[in-house]
Amino acid sequence: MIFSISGLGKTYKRGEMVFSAAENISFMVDRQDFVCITGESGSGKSTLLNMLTGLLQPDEGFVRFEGRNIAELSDDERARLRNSRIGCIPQGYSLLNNFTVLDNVCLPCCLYNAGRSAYKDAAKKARLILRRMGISHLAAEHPRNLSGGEQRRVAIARGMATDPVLLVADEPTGDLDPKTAAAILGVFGEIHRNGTAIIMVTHEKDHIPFANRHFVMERGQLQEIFPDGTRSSAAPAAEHACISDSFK
Amino acid sequence: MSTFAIAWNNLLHRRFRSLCLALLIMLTAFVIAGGTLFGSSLRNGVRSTADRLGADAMFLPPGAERELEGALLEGKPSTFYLPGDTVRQLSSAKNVKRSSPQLYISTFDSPHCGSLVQIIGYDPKTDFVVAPWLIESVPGGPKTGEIVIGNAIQLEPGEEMLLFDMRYKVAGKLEKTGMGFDVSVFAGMETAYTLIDRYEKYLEAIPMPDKDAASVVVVEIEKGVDHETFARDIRMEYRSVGVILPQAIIGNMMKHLNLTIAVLTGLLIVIWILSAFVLAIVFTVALHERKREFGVFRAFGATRGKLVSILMTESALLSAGGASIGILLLCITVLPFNAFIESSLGSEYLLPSAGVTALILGGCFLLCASVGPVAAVLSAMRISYADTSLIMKEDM
Ligand SMILES: Nc1ncnc2c1ncn2[C@@H]1O[C@H](COP(=O)(O)OP(=O)(O)O)[C@@H](O)[C@H]1O
Ligand SMILES: [Mg+2]
Repeated sequence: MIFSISGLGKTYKRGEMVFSAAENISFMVDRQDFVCITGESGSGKSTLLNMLTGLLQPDEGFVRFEGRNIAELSDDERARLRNSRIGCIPQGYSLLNNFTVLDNVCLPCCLYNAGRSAYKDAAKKARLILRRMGISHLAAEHPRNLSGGEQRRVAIARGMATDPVLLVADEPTGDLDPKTAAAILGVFGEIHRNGTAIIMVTHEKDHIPFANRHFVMERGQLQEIFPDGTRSSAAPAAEHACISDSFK
Repeated sequence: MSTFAIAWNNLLHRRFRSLCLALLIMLTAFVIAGGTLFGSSLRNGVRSTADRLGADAMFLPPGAERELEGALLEGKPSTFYLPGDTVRQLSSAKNVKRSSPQLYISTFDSPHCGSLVQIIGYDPKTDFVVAPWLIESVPGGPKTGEIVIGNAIQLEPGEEMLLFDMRYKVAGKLEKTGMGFDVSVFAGMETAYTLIDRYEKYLEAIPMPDKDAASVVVVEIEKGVDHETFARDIRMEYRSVGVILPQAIIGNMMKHLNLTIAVLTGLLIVIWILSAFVLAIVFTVALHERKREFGVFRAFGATRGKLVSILMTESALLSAGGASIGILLLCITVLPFNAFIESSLGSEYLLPSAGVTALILGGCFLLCASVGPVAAVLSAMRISYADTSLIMKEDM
């Protein structure tokens, strides 16, 4: 088990009003999981993902990643965790325009290692990943000159560059045409088969079959939809998470 | 990839903006280093005039002080006399350690003289003011019919100079003094008296009171004696003698100068603050449009410290680059013309020694190279405290 999330909650202030963007969310993610989270825009999916990756501090509950409570880590330790264990693919356009495609993919690997040889190794690996994504010919390009689908692939490649155990993708197919979106999902399927767990947020119902688990986010509440169509309520899963955690 | 490489890449990407900011810092550095150098040259010029003169006090006819100042500092022609008796008495006055008479004679614009110079007759036997400046010593001083010339006079030893219709052989030349000495001609007292004779013939000038009169007597005061007290005592004892303390003249000039320099310094500080302010605004605005970029860095694992160091490196690179170009520009545009500036501004301006100049330029470099990082501190703090999810929020 990689992630165990329990009683997670986050409230935002909107003017004078306080509202919950995420409420009492509990679930677990295994090493073999390809989790798909759907939900309407504004239901709190990005908020949830950012809490999982430690970019956002939850108001309630905790996130355990590989047994460690993320909230108890320092901000720097969380950053290092994202750098080494979790691949993040943020929502929307997330490439650095002043770096080539290759350097975009390399950067996470040699962010803390300025050496020449570290860069060479990273570049070698980046080329390999780019080839797997079918965009090795774009290595020297600047991201601005790429199509939307190509840009997403670069972002995925960057997420994969550090060999993370978990890939967290926020709407990786948003605003892509169906054909390109399907190709991207094919890439995710392959990454999953190669042993990387995936948590992917999407609002396309068609993408659900690619994953092996499906959750729905509705106004800050998360529910799992099982293959037989039944829904879990969040609470029991949370207890389950706590118990299995304490048995470790 | 090193922080440096990332920062450099970011600067290159925003080439126009980087160039403008570097230009601003370049100008700042140019003005600040130039201004500081100018101010310290003025101060150095005035301060060393006192040292260069080499005399603690000068005796002269009362009322001739202003004329002497002109003669000493600027080489303005002047003629005034102390009677020979007085000169002799003064040489053995109380607290006088050493003294030597000097006779000032002006040339005037006429076909009789080669050029317009101040002639100073001196007594090589007692002199301690002129001889130290000689490039090559002239043993026993210039003989009758010989002269020693100041550095700015375009003649070399061995050549001749026309003074009041007679040719005089140049026996020696002085180093650059930065005083009126540079445009003066020095002759032994004998030569000087013959020059005076002819001078009086050509010009209906005040005749010399007696055969061994002098214009001034330069004096070294005994150690430990207060100069002001010494001057007062002399004035009391010899009613017909004026005393000048070069240090005091310099002190007065220093007072005026310090005011000028204080204003200059204030101006430079304002310029520094202004450019830091402009930079801070640009950085802050840039930070806003770079939120997403920094958010992406955070997402793939950059710590806040890493972001801050990238931002700081960018600003340091910008300002170090701008400052070094500005100072280089100063070096190639101003320093080569320094001799010209020195001669056109007169004795009050003298570039400090190479070491001190380098030190001043180095200090100005550091000062201007720090503009960027200082201006970036605010933005860096804002990165550190920004909630990353807010950074991530802005979709594109
Ligand atoms: N920093 C914030 N401050 C206030 N409200 C926010 C903030 N971030 C998100 N929200 C709000 O929280 C809700 C959930 O946002 P988000 O997690 O981005 O939804 P989704 O990703 O499902 O579209 C939205 O209504 C959004 O407006
Ligand atoms: Mg979202």
